[in-house]
Amino acid sequence: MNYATGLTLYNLLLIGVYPTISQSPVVTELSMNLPSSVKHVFGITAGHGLDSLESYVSTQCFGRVWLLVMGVYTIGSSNALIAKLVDQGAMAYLLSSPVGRLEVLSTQVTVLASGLALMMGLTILGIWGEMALFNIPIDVWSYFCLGILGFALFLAIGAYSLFFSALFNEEEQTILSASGLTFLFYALDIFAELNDRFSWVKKLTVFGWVRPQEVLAGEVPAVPTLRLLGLSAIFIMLAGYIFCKKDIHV
Amino acid sequence: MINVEGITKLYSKNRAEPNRKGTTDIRGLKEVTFQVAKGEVFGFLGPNGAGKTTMIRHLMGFIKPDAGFAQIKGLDCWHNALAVKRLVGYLPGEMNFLEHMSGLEFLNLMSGMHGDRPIFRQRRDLLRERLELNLKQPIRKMSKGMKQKLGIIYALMLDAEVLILDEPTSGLDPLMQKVFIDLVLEEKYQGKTIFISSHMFPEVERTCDRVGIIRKGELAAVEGIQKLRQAQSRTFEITVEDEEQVQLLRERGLAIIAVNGTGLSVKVEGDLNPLLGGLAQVKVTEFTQKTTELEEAFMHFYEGEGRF
Repeated sequence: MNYATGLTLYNLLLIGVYPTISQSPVVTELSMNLPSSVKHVFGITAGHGLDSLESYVSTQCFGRVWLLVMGVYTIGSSNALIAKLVDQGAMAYLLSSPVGRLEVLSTQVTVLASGLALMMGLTILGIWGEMALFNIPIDVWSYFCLGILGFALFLAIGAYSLFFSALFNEEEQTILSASGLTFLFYALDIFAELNDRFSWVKKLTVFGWVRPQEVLAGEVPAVPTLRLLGLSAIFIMLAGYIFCKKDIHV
Repeated sequence: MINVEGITKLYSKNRAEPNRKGTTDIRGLKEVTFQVAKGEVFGFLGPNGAGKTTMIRHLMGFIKPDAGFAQIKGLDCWHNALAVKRLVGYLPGEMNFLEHMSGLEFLNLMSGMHGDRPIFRQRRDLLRERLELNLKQPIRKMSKGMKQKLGIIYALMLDAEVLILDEPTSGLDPLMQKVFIDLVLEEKYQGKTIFISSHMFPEVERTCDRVGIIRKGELAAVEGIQKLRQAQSRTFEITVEDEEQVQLLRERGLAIIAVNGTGLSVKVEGDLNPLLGGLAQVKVTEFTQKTTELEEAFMHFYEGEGRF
């Protein structure tokens, strides 16, 4: 909840300054003159300057800070839902009841998914509200699609984090491997953008499947959403399998 | 009721020690076998890291044995874990709850997970009164002793046939330890089967019928508590009125270790009655037992001074 409030305020700030930035010739000139690699690293994709609100929103609101906050939230929750409970011992109480391990795990998955849905929902609602506040017309539908896609992206990240959370008995290992893998995906995504020859690398990372600008431009992201949901399902099932079979030292 | 046959669980030396109590010499359990009859209180005694908690994890179906099996009421603790948990009230050794809850919320959650029978609430309220715990307090603000009380309420409120208690009195003050022992005895008289792991002698001595002693993962001995008591030698410090009476006691063939004026030290092995018979004929002004109890017998065992 705290995360969601923070993100909404952050977006409010970003959208609030948009009219100033877009009308400022200095900024436009600056963004044109930046070397393309720098632009990529900071999330300004070629062909989309700061001139349209969609590209601005997608690069800023769904940009690096948002990804970072959502990533921290997702990995943190996945860790807290299993590995932390096992590491600290509270899992002993849950498992001492005649509720099966699988049922405990699916409850935790539900908690994770609803938390992510809430975060995504608040982000999108926040953007809608802020746009209304500044009288900027937007395509409500495409933002909705983006929300679903974002949810699927973080559900996939949450699913493999949950898998690590079930696999390891300790919090440190869980967080290290989940954030390590996420960072690797993210780094590959940036790497792929830096050079066209490596654009195929994008297909290897979950971040590469998500193109906020294209979604906001009107494309319905059905395939990437399904792919991300499928990936989530696989990792959640693996997590369930491991959690049911392994020794739990609580 | 509880049947453990040749349970073996070995942890390889390379693997990080899963037992968070952090001892290095434990390598799990080696062919542990014992039975606990219905209505019996069984003490599982050993120092930290001897494998007590590992045994309990097997009974609770948290870990899978490498060899052997554990059964409760004929149900395998690993393969039939769910059915076993319907029979068991469990007090974990480490009191770590879901921190953001209050005691009451936690107990409500747990009774929900156990199928929410009306008796849970009645027993919870009775126990809360006996243990004097404020359930409205958030768990993260509770002291260690208060968390221990909360754990005890959870384990006992379920009215389970079998109780598995891991170091139940740690963190409790002496008054509450007494309350706890009374509670355990009450459960015992209702025919519950109780398994208590402990490194604290008084709680075991006052509640258990039999004691299993575990050392470095191996069950060293299982003895009835009476036999344990009898086998140990006890020393009494007695002061009588005058030296004539000292002489009288000497003639009764008691093992008198030292005499200091009208004071005597008498060592008794096993039966107390010869001493009591002698004392009935004299006027005793002071009578104390040197604190040995089970503890001394236990220490002897660990020092390798033979069996009891």
